[in-house]
Amino acid sequence: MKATLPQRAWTLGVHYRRELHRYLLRRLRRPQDLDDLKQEVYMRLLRMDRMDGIREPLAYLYSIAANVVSDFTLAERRRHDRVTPDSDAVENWADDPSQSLPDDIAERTSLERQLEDALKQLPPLQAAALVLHYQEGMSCDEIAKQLGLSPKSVDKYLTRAKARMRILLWNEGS
Amino acid sequence: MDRRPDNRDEETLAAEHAVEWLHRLDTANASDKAAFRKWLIRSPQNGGEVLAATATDVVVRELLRDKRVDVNQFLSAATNVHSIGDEFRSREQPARPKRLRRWIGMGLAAALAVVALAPIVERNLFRPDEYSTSTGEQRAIELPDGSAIAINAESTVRVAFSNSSRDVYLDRGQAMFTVAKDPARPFRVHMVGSAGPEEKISKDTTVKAIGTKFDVRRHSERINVAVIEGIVQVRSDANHTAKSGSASVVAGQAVSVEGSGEITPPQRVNPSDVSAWQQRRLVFTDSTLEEIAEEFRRYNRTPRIRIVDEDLRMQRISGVFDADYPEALLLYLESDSSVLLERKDEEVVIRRRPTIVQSAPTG
Repeated sequence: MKATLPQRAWTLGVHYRRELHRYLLRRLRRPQDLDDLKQEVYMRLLRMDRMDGIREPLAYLYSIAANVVSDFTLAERRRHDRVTPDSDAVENWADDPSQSLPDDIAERTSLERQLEDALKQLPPLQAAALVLHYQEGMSCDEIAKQLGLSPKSVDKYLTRAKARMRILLWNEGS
Repeated sequence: MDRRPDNRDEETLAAEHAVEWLHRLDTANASDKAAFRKWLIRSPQNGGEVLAATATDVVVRELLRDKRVDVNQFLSAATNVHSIGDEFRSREQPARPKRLRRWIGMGLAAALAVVALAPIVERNLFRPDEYSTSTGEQRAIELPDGSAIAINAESTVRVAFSNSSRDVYLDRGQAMFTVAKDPARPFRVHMVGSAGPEEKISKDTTVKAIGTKFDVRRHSERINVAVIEGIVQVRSDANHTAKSGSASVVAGQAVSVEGSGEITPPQRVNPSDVSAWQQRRLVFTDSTLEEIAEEFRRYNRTPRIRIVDEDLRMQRISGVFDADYPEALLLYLESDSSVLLERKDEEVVIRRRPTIVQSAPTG
C-alpha cells in the first residue's frame, strides 16, 4: 500500500513545512507569539512587490513562514544553548518527518482532550460532519448522503467547523 | 454554544475565509490564485489565518487518525437539537446504527482508494510537465515514481518520464533532486547547452543517478552539481573538444562543468550548505560580490543591486544571508568606508567612493 500523498511529501524533503507545523503547534497556547509571526510574514510578503509574479502563492506563503520560523527558532536556540544551527538542520533532514504531533505523551493527551472539548462545543451536525470528514475520509457528497443534508450545507458546515476548531484549539488552551 | 451568523466576530470570519481559500486552492485556476494573492496582502491577519488553518487541519487529522471519536454521540445529539434528514429523524429505529456502520466502512474504503489530500500538498493530479518559478518563489513537486524535486527561484524544470527512463530537463536555475530507487529506469537530469547572449554553455550536460539526492545549479557560464547522498555520473557531451568527459561524484562532493564542457575535479562540500537555499538561506564561501548580488536578485525584485566598479564586483566575501533580506548585504557594504551606496527609487548602485584628492598644504 502506498503511503498517502501528504506523508510522502513530508518524507521527501519538504521538511520546512514540518518545522513550521511544529512551531505553530508549540504556539497553540501562546497566541501572542503567533501575532509576531503574522506581522513578520506580512512584512516579507509586502516586500515581494505585491507578489504579482508568484504562481503558487500558497506554497510561497508557507516557505516565507517557514523561513521566519527558522529565524525565530534560531534566535531562541542562541538564547538557550550553543547548538550550532547547521548540524540541527542536517538532523532535520534525517528525521522521520511523517509525524508532526508532539512526541511528549502528556502534551499529546492534553491536545486530545482539547480536541474532544472543542468537538463538544460545535453544533452536533458540524461535529459529525467534521469527524466523518477527517476520520472516515468522506467527501462532501458522502457526508451529505450520510446525514441527509444537501452537499452545499455540508460544505458550509465543514467550513464553519474547521474555522471554529482553529479558534477553539488555539485560543482556549489551558 | 454556537454563535449566530449575524454576530460572528471578525476573527471567526477571517478563520472561515482562510478555510474557504485552502479548499478553493485545491482546484484553483490562475485568477483564483491572483485573488488569493490580493487577499493575502490585504491584512497581516489573513496570511496568519491560513497558517493557523493549515496547522489546525494537520493536527485534527492526525489526532482523529490515532484516536477514534464516536460519531454517533453527535448524531444522537443532533436529533434533539436540529431538524435533520429522514434517515436520522427517529433515532430509536434499530436499523440506523447498522446502516451507519456500513457507511463508515464504505467511507474508509473510499479513503484508502482515493487518498485524502491535505491542503498543504500541491495538487498534481493533472501534472503539467513543466514547472517554473518566478523571482523569490520556491516550489516542491513530487513525481509519479516517488522522486521529489525542490525548485529554487527563477528556475524551470521539465519532466519527461517513460517506461524505460526518467528524464528531467533543467532549463534554467537550480533544483534539488531526491531520486527514488529504480535501477531499471535511470534518472537523468539534462542541461541542454545554449550559447545565447546571456548563456555561455555550449555543450549539453547530463547528470545520471539511480537512487540518490543531489543539487544542480545552472549558472550563465557553468553548471554546478553537488551530491548529498549516493553517487551520480556527470557527463558533458562536448563532441568537438578534447575537454569532453565524465566524472563520478559521490556524497559530500561537488563538480563544475565549465562552458567549454570541461569538468573540474571534485571538491568537498558541506551538505547543509548545499541545501541551505531551501530554507531561503544564502551561503557564500569566497564568492564575488557580483555573484552574491545576482543571487539576491533571484529572490527580490527590489531593491535591484547594481555594482558598477569591476574591482568591487570581483571582491570576494564569505557569509550566510537571509535570501529575503538584501538589506543585510547593503548594511555590510555600507560599513566599508571605501564603498558608496546610492539609493535611487528601487535601485541601489554600489561604487567605489571617489578618493578625495587632498589639496597640498600651502607653505
